[in-house]
Formats: sequence, structure tokens, C-alpha cells
Amino acid sequence: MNLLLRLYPVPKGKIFIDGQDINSIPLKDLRDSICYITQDNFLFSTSLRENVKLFKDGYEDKEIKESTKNAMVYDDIEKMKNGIDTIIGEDGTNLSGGQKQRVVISRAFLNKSNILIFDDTFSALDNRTEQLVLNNVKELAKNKTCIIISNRISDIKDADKIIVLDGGNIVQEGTHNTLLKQEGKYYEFYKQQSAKSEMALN
Amino acid sequence: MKNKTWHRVYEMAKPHKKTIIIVVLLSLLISVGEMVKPYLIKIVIDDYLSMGIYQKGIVTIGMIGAIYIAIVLIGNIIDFISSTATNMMGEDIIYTMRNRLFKYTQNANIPFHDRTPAGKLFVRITNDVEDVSSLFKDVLTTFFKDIILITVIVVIMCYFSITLSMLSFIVIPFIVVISIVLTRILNKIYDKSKKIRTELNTFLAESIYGSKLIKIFNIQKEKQAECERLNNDYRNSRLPGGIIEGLLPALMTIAENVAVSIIIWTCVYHWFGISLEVGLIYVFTTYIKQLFEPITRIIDNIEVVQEAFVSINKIYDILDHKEYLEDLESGMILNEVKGKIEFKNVWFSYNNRDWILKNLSFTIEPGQSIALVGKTGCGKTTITNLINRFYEIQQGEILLDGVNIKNINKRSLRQHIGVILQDPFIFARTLKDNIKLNANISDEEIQEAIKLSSAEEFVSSLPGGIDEVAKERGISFSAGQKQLLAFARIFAHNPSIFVLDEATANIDTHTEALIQKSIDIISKKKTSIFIAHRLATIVNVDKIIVLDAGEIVEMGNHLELLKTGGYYSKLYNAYYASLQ
Ligand SMILES: Nc1ncnc2c1ncn2[C@@H]1O[C@H](COP(=O)(O)OP(=O)(O)O)[C@@H](O)[C@H]1O
Ligand SMILES: [Mg+2]
Repeated sequence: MNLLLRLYPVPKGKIFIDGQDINSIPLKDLRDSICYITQDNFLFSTSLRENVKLFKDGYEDKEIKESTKNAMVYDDIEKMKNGIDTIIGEDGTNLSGGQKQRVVISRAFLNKSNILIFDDTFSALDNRTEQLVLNNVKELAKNKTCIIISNRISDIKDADKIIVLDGGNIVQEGTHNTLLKQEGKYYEFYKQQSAKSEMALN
Repeated sequence: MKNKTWHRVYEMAKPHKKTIIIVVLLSLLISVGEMVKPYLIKIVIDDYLSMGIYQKGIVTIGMIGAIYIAIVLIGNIIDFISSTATNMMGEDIIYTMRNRLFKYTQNANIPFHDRTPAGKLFVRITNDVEDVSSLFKDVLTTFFKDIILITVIVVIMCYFSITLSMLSFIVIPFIVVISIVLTRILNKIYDKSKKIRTELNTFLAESIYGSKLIKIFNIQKEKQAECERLNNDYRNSRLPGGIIEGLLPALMTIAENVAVSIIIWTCVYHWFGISLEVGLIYVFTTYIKQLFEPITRIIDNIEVVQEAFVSINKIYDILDHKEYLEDLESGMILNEVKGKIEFKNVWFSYNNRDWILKNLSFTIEPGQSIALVGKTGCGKTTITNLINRFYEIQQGEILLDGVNIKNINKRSLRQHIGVILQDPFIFARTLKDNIKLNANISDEEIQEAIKLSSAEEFVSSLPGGIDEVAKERGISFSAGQKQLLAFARIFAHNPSIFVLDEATANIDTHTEALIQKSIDIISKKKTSIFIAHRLATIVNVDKIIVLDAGEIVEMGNHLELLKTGGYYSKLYNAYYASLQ
């Protein structure tokens, strides 16, 4: 992913977006067209509002509210004394890991990019919240390209295409169902995760 | 306010009393030398040159010249000694203050760090400390020297002619007014500019830390604009100081020349019955020049002093807040811990306003393993923070082996609790140091810990092995690798209570299996608390505590809870369904 955003140099003729070599796309346009949510929940010590809209102007309060609702963090924010204008770190205010993660995820809902990337961004969420956020992400990603990176089958099983990596190489590619039929790495992976819960149920 | 500042300066200077006394005595010598110099020239002019003689009695002009040169030489040597001494004192004060501040930040409790941005602390520990030191390095010596000089010159001038002296002092009130006004203005300027500097530095630290995010979201332009705004504010805040600095020499020169003119006029026009005596005019104008030198220096230094004062107050604003310091020394030392944990009607709030934990009660028996389950933000991590006594509870009590943790020595308490977080902190040191963390642990024990934590494969894959130096915050390691190291830490330190906070959340299946092995080993022997979203990892614990908004809604083992069909079974079924 770091390569897709050209955070590191990329050799020519290797990565294309809409058929165009990413080296020929101006860096700013490239990064503008991609919304990448990373796994470190980094928040600036400013208001939650700025943290969601990331210092860019031109967003209405309604849009910001909508995006925090979609990320399931709206209720948490409403409970704070200053709501969306709560300043992180001031007056001892801090967020729990899951709250931070959802504030970060709200950025994706506000962003107008056509490519969305979620890099292990649901790890601190409980299952229910996660499913609700994921449903909203699916809605959002309807007309967009969306890449979800995760170790949890539950995050990815509805994707159009799942790419299984091992040691930097692609070992499998396909939908949840086709991959399950292949009984390869993905299947093993699936079995491991469901076996545990299966075991617990019985 | 001013008094307090002086008191603080006194406190800082106190350990250096000896140096200061020596420096003052040396300055006294220098001042005497300075005074004698014009007097020697006056003798040469009035007693020798105006009479057209070279020798008077046994004293020749040559001898007087030699004495003059000797005085200059000795003066310079003394000057050198005293400025070396003050420089050393300044460095010493930097050293002491920096250590004191760092110690404070290390001993300050978590609420302090929650509300103080790291950037602000950086500024205090680096810039502010240095600004203070210039008070001691540049001002202190010259200040005493100058005060003595001024006194001596005034006395000598009065000795020569009281009338002329009084006339020269006409400008003094003018200078006093300037200094008072200046002090006030500069204090305001520096107070404001240092506030902006703190803001600027906090901003810089954070932007550098978040540079990847800034790139990803293309907000370089916005960040640049913010930087320019803050930087510009900072520049503007210092501008008035610069103007004053530029204006000051001019004002002082005017004052000086007015004083000299008064003397010359008085002598030329024989006012107040003063007669025209070239030697006397020379002496007086020279003394006035000499008098203005220290005065100008003192007034120039008002700037340095004010700058230092503002910084001193900012530093002490941190140091004086003793309420944030943790008492790590007193309290009961625990040698052996069985690991029974009890929460009795615990109420807790981070800000004394919103209750995070409401009347929470539960017991964990020694060796038991429990899991905390619930939506994000329901207070799971908070509970582990409280067991470590990072925060104080408002009501109720928390007991460890039947002892209220308030009565237990904090260091000892934390020694017995091992916490693994989702993103373990890795220092930019060797892996060995990262596992050891300055405790007294032998190399064999570390090897053993690495083996137990299944980190062997990962550690040996590194070119430096156990002596490989980690990058800052461990950025070159994956979350899973950091977890393995964190487990090695636990095995090496062998705490009695083990807390795992969402540690297995974003880890690949292979590493997870390794970690599960560690978890099994540990939870068999120790009191363990697990916080996990992947419910599959916690089904085997002795007791599951289900929380909602800071209250316990259910408690029991996995099967019991499933049977009751409550909150937990809903959570679990949702989790299970998501896997299908
Ligand atoms: N350092 C803090 N200062 C103030 N509030 C906090 C702090 N840490 C967490 N909180 C608040 O306390 C509540 C519980 O957080 P936490 O215990 O971290 O939840 P979780 O169950 O996800 O671990 C949240 O509402 C969060 O906003
Ligand atoms: Mg938590």
C-alpha cells in the first residue's frame, strides 16, 4: 500500500491506476484519489472536527456529522461536553483505542476519493460495532474501489476479490466461496478461525 | 509574582554560592583596576605633560605606563577566570534543571501526561532551560561587576567634585524610567512569544510524528500554512523586542552625551564656580563614559533577564505542581503475590464529571483467568489502568491479596503486574535491552524468555539477533513481532498478574498461534485478565465479565453465559455469524 501511494519510490511500469503508470500521475493527484486509513490511530492534538476533516476546508457540519455516524462514533462524541469541538488532550480528555480508531475511520466517509484502503483498521472494534461499520463501508464502496487488509475473515469475506499473500507473494486470488473450494491457504486460515468458535459453541 | 521569581533564581543559584562569591570578589578587583586607569592618566596629564616634565621625584612617565599595562594585563586575566567560572556555572545549571525536569516527567502520573503534550515538555526541557542559563552565564558576573563599578565610579567622581557629579547624574532618573518601562514591556513580549514557541514546537513534533498521515491525505499545504502562521506569529512576537534592542543604544548614547556636554559647558562657562582644568574635564568625561558602560550593559541585560524570568516561571509552573508526582517510595512492599484481585463498589471518572465505571464489584481468585468483554469504550482498558494505579478511583476500593492497593508501594505493585497492549512500545535499543528494561536479568534468563515466547524464530532471523538495535518505536517490526517481544518481556520479568489488552487483534494466524501458546503457559500459572474482541480467544477462561457503559451486565464462564442467552450470547452469535 505504501507503494501505491508512492510513499516509497516505485519502478516504472509496475503499478497502474486506470491504466496509467502511477509514476506519471502527479503525486498530489495520486494521493488525492486514494483514501488510505492506516492501522496506527494517529490523532493530532486539536479538535475532533479537525481530526476528521484533517484541516481541509469546505466541509459542512452536516457532512462531518454524517461521517462520524457512519463510523459509529457519533454517539461517543455527542456524550463529550464539547462534542465534535472537543480538543484531544485538553482537560485530560482522551479516547479509548476503539474510539480513536473510529474517529480515524470517519475520515474515509468524509473523503471523496475513489479508492479506499483500510489497513487493519477494525482491530480495536468489538464485533458488533465492527459489523455495523463494515456495512457502512460496503455502502460507501459501492461505486468505488475498496481494499481491505485484514487477518479476520469476517472483515473480508464479502469482497469481490480476496488476495492471499504469504511471504510477499500472492498465493491465492478469488472470492470467498471460490477460495474456500480450493482448499488452499485461505481455507486453512478460515478453518482455524472458525474452528475456535465452533469448538466453543459445542 | 516578582518575589517568587527572585526566590526561584535564588534557589537555582544557591548551590553555586562559592562561585558567585569568588566572581564578585574578582569583579571588585577588576573595578579597582578600571578606576585607577583614568586616575593614572590624569596624573600624567596634570602633573607631567602640562608642566612639560618627564620625571617627578623618582617616578617617571615610563613607570606609570608600566603600571598601567600591568593593570590591564591582570584585569584581563581575572576577567578570563571569572567568565570561565560563570560559563561553567551556567552549564551546570542547565544540567541540573534538565535532570530535574526529566525526573519530574518520569515521576509524573498518567493524568499529567494525558493533559500535557510532549512538545510542550520538550520546549521546557530544551529551550527554556537554555534561556535560563544565559541569566547565569552572561548576566550574573557582569551584573555584580557592573554594580561595583558603578558604585566605585560614583564615589570617585564625588571625591573629585560633588557639584560636577550631581550635574552628571541629572540624566539618571531618565535612565531609571527607561529601565522600568523596558522591564514591563519585555516581560509581556517574552511571555507571549514563549507561549507561541511552545505551540509551534508542539505542532512541529506532532507533524513530524504524523508525516506519513500528512502525505497520505495530502495535507502538506494545510500543515505548511499552519506552520507558517505559527512561525509568523512567533516572529512577530519577537519583533518588538528587536526594535527595543535597536533603540536602546541610541537612547543610552544620547543620555551619555548629554551628561558629558553638561560637564564641558559647566567648566567652559565657569558655572557654579568651577574652573577650567583640562585634567579634570578629562577625568570626568572618562568617568562618565565608564559609568555609562556598565549602566548600558545592565539595561541591555534586562532583556536577557526578562527572557530568563519568563522561562524560569514556565519551568517552575511544571516543577511546582507536586500533585502530579507519584509517590513511588512509600507504601507496603510486596514480596510474594498470590494474585487475588477484588474490586469493591468502584466508581471512577477521568475528569470528575463523566462516570466511566459505576459501582463495579468483582473478584478474581489467585491463578484464575478472566476476560473482560464489551463494546469499545465501555471501560475495559480503564479497569487495567486502575489495577496498576495509574489513576485514583473516586469511591470504593481495589484490593490485591486482600490489601487495598492504596497502601501498596506503587513500584512494587506494578512490578507484579505485566501488561501487554495492542501496540507494545519498543525503544530504539537492542532487543535484549527491550526485553530486560533495565531490570536485573541474566542473559540465560533472557534466552529462556525468548524461547518460551516463541520469539526465537523471529529473533534469529534478524542479522544482529538479540543485539539487533530496534528502530524508533519499533517501526520496522510488524505488530505480531512486537507482540512476541512483549511476551518475552513478560516471561523475563515473571509478574504474578498478567493483563492482555486487545493484544491479538491485528495479528496473522501464524503469529497468533505462537502467542496463544504463550497465553496458555501464562494463564495456567498466573492470575490473568484478557481483553479481546475475538471471542474465540477467550472461551476457555474461568470467568467472563461482560461490561456495558461501565457496569457489569453479566458474569460467568462461556457456556453459562451462552445458556442464559443474554448480552454475551448475542455478542457471541454475532461474532460467530460473521465467520460464516
Ligand atoms: N485517558 C483518558 N482520559 C479521559 N477519558 C478517557 C481516557 N481513556 C479513556 N477514556 C474514556 O473512558 C471510556 C472508557 O475507555 P476504555 O476503558 O479505554 O474503553 P475500552 O473498553 O474500549 O478499553 C471511554 O469513553 C473513553 O473516552
Ligand atoms: Mg481498550
